[in-house]
Amino acid sequence: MVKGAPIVILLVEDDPAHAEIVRRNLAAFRVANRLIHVEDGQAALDYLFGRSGYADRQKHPRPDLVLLDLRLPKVDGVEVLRQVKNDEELKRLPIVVLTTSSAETDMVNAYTNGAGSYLVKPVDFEKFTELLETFGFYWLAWNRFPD
Amino acid sequence: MSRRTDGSRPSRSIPCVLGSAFMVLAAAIVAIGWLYNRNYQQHYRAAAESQLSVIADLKVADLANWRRERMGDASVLFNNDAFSTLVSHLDSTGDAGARKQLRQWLGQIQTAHQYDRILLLDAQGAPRMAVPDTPEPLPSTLASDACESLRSGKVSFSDFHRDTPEGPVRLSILVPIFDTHDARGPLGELVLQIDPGVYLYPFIQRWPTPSSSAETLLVRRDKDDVLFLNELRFKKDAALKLRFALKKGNDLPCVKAVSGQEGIVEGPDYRGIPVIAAVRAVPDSPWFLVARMDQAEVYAPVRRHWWLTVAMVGVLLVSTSFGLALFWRQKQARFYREKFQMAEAMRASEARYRRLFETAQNGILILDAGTGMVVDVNPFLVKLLGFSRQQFLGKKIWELGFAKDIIANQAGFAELQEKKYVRYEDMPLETADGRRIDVEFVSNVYEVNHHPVVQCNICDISERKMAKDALRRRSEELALANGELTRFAYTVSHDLKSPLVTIKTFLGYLEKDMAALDAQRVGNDLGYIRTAADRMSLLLGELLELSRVGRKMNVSSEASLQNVVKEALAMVAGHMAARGVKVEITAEPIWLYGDRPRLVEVFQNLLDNAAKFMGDQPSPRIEVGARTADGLTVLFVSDNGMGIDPRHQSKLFGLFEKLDPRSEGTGLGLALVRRVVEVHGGRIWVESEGPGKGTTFRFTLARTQRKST
Repeated sequence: MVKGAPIVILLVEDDPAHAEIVRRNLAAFRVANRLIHVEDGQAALDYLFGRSGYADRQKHPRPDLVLLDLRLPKVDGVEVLRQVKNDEELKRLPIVVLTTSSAETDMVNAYTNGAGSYLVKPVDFEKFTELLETFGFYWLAWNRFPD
Repeated sequence: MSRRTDGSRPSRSIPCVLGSAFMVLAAAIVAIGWLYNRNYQQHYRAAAESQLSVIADLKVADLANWRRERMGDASVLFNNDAFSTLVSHLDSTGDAGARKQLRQWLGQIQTAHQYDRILLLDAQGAPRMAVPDTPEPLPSTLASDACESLRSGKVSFSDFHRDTPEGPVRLSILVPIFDTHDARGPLGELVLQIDPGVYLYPFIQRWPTPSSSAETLLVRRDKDDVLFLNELRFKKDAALKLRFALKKGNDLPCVKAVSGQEGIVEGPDYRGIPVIAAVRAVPDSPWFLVARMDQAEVYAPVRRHWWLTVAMVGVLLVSTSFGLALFWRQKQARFYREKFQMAEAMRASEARYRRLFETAQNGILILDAGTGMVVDVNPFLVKLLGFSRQQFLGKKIWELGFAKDIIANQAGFAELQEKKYVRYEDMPLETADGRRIDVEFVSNVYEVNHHPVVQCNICDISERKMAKDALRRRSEELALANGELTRFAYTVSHDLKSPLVTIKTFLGYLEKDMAALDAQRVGNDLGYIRTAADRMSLLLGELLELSRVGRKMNVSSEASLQNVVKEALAMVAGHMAARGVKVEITAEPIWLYGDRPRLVEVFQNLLDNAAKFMGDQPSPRIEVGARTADGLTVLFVSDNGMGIDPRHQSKLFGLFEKLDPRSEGTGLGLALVRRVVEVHGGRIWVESEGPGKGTTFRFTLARTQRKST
């Protein structure tokens, strides 16, 4: 990644309202970032692998971090994780799961398939805001990504 | 059940053993009897011999004594001065006093010593005096004997003799009388005559114990003969008359005695009857004494004893044989009793097992292992398979055909036999009327009377299997339902939580935006909240709807496919018309059976779905019909719309799953369709070759029939 360039985050989220929440929080964050939003698992895979109209990396840069919902149309989140982590090029890409599900099986599946972190969306404005701030602080301010 | 196969052998061998035992016992008894008798005989003979010897010894001693006494009598008078003086006085003076005195003296001797007669002869042998004075003439031989005695000048004994051939037997002692003062020659001769009949004969003949044949004989040698001296018990007038020649081979006891034998001898007596005798020589005499007794008398008790022994042996033999016979009889009786009891036990056992066989609620087939022929079949199997008993019996198992999956032919049977034990948990059998039933088949090979038989136990497991299948299906259904429930709970919690998160978060934003008086953002926030609330309401409504499927059923009825589809079409007519979709329904008479409003819902959803995903198809078309596959009527709703990527087909029927997040609806439609189909005992799946290739939904419903009305 180019020094000083904004951190590219791929948000995979089928619920437009939730995407808006993430977008609002990250936009307000002091570290420069660029949020790219896709609405289903298939689109996420296409984007990451540079397929079906996402081939142009100038226009669709490779993300530094993926924020992934699990319950997605067409291809679900765990399958996205599996395919990314099985790919030599993409397997170093950190993926943070952000989902409403606090089910144990989902957590186990996510971590088993290479999730870097598992965050549950809180049903509370303050907490959700705090979570996203902490997330931004951690991943955008402190975390270091490979070039 | 143990069996004695050599049932008649014990009864045959026992008589042999008993016979041998009897022979041994009999031989022992006879031998003991014989030995005992011999011992008794010897003992008795010894006693008899000893009796004879004692008597002989006693008599010999008495005889010798008697002779000595007689010679003593003579010696008192021989060389007796007083006597000689008296005799000489008698000679010279004829003194009457002397005569009287002499007569008195001799008379005393005669009476005291039982002499028959005492004679006084003169020196010439003429009689001068006789006491008692009988007129009996003087025997002629006496004179010569007297002369001989006078010549020798010694006392002599004149042995048994008869003075005349028919005269009495006498013994005499001759005493020469000499004058003791001058040796002028003899004065005379004194003759002491003894009549043996008075003392000697009775003494000889006396026997100390009662006896029917015993007697004592006195004999002497007379030239080459044996001469009997006394009167005999069994022969009159034998004294000095009966004689036997002393020659070889004449083994009369008296002959042996005279020949010098002593002790116990055997031989015939004078009557020719065998006797046992004790023989002795009488000392200082020519006499021999024979104490004899008939062998018959000696052995009479022995013979009696012998008979007693024989009788005892006989009794013993008889009782032994009786005992053995009794033993054999008892043994025989016990053997037959045991045999009878065994037979009874066998009969009872046979009845028990027969009853078991007849009443068993399992099929039992007994086969001859050698030939594969059916030997017996129980009523249960007859009933189970529907063949008659006669159809079974005498047939080879593979000829019957019902068990062709187990024993197709002789080779199969041989294999069954070789394995000894075969168990098939689930095998099909064919009954007489062609039905197939499922059975558990167990075969065992065992021996009956050294002949191998195969027993097949056939247990009808059709019901068990059906129950098992039902149970498996039920448990699969339960697992499915359980999985579905889990998924349902998960989905519900996730999908209901999602709008809630939206609502609460945007309420927070709303507060901030209102404080900042940012009207545009407030509008946006309210929009998100409204959408989320609407979605939540929709989800809850649809969940309720879904939960009703299968729980609240309408009364099942039969309806034609065409009618159901037409009803569904009426409900989605708006969409169809808006997109210009053409719907073709098969004319084939197909009858559906079930909850009609639900079936209408199925078609409504599928038609709506097809219309929704027509994509940019210029001439959209939907076809509804039925095909038959694997004996099942498969209904289908096919379109020529945008199709479905095969990768996404698995998620299609999931609850609240949407392939296109921007499409209308919550994603409940196909989940509902699947639920209705499943509640109607069917299955639904989707076929699409991919995007742009159209989509076909196929499903089955139980009790769908293709038939004309």
